[in-house]
Amino acid sequence: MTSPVSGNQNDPERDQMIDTYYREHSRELWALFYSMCSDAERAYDAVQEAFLRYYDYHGEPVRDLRAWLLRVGQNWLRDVARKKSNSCGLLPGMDDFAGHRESAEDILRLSERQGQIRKAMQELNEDDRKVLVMKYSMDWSAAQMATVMDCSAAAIDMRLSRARRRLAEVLTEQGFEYE
Amino acid sequence: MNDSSNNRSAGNIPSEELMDGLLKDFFKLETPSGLNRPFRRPVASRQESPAASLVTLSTSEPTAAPRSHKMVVASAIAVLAMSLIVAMKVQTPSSSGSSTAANTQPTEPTEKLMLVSPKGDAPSTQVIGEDGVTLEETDAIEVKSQK
Repeated sequence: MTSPVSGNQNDPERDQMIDTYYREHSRELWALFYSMCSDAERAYDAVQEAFLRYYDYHGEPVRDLRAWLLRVGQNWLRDVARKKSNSCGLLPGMDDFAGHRESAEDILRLSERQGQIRKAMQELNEDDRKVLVMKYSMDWSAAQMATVMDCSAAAIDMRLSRARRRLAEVLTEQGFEYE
Repeated sequence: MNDSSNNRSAGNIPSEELMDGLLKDFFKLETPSGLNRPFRRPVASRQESPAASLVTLSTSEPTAAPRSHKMVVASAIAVLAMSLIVAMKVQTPSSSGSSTAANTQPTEPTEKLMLVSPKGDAPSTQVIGEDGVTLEETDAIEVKSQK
C-alpha cells in the first residue's frame, strides 16, 4: 500500500488511513512477527511499535507501508532479542480467563499445554511456523499464502502438512498428552 | 477402537485432524485480544506543542508583562532608598566621633585607668597587671612624694 501522506500528525486523513490499515493488516503483521519470535505478546508489541513509529514518522512519503512496518517491527524484535532479559512474564492467554468459571487447576493445565505447544513451535523452522500461523491464526487459504510466500498453492498444502507432522513429532518427543 | 485411538497413527504420532484441532485451539488463545481493538495512539503527541502553549500563555494575559515591569522598577527604587538610609547611618557615628575627638584632644590629657580587683575591696592574690603585680602588693606600696 502506498502512503501518500506522512509527517503531519494532526491530519485527520492520515489518522483515518492509519486506523484503516491497522484494522486490516495488524493481524497479518502480528502473525509474521509471531513466526519470527514465537512470543505472542512480543509480536503484538512489535505491531504496536511499528504503527507508533509510523504515526510519529516525519520523513519522506512511504511507498510500501506493509514493507516499512515489517522492517520496523523486525528491527525492533532484533533489538529486544539482543537485550533479552530473564524477566518473568505473564502466563500467555490468561487475560482470556478473567471472570470465567474455570478452576485454577484447569487454567494452569491449559497454560502448561499452551507452553508446551509454544516450545514445540520454536523447534520448527521459520517457514514452517509461518504457514502454521497464516493458516491457524489468520485463517488464510492456500492461495493467499502462496501469494505471500511466492510459491504455488499445492506447495503450500504440502508445506502445511509437513509442518503439522513435524510439530506432532516434536510434541510427542516432549511427552505431550493429546486429549 | 475409540475416537482417540483412531486419531493416532503408528508410533503415537497424532493424525492431521487432531493436530488441526489442536492448532486451532492453540492460536485462538495465543492471538492477543488487542489486535481486534482499534489502534491506540499516544496521548502525549495529541497535545499541543510547547511552542503553541507558550504562544497561548502570552496572549491570554496581555497585562502580565507591564505589571512585572512596574514591579521591577518599584523594587529597584526600594532597594536604592534602603541602601541610602544604611549608608547615611554608617556615616553618621564615624563623623561625630571624629569631631568630638578633635574637640577634646588639645584641652585634656587622657587619664590612665586604675587597676582594680573584680571582687571590689576583698583581698585578692590574683595578678592584675602585665608585670605580675597583685592587688595586695599594690596596696603595700607606699607612695612618697619626691623632693
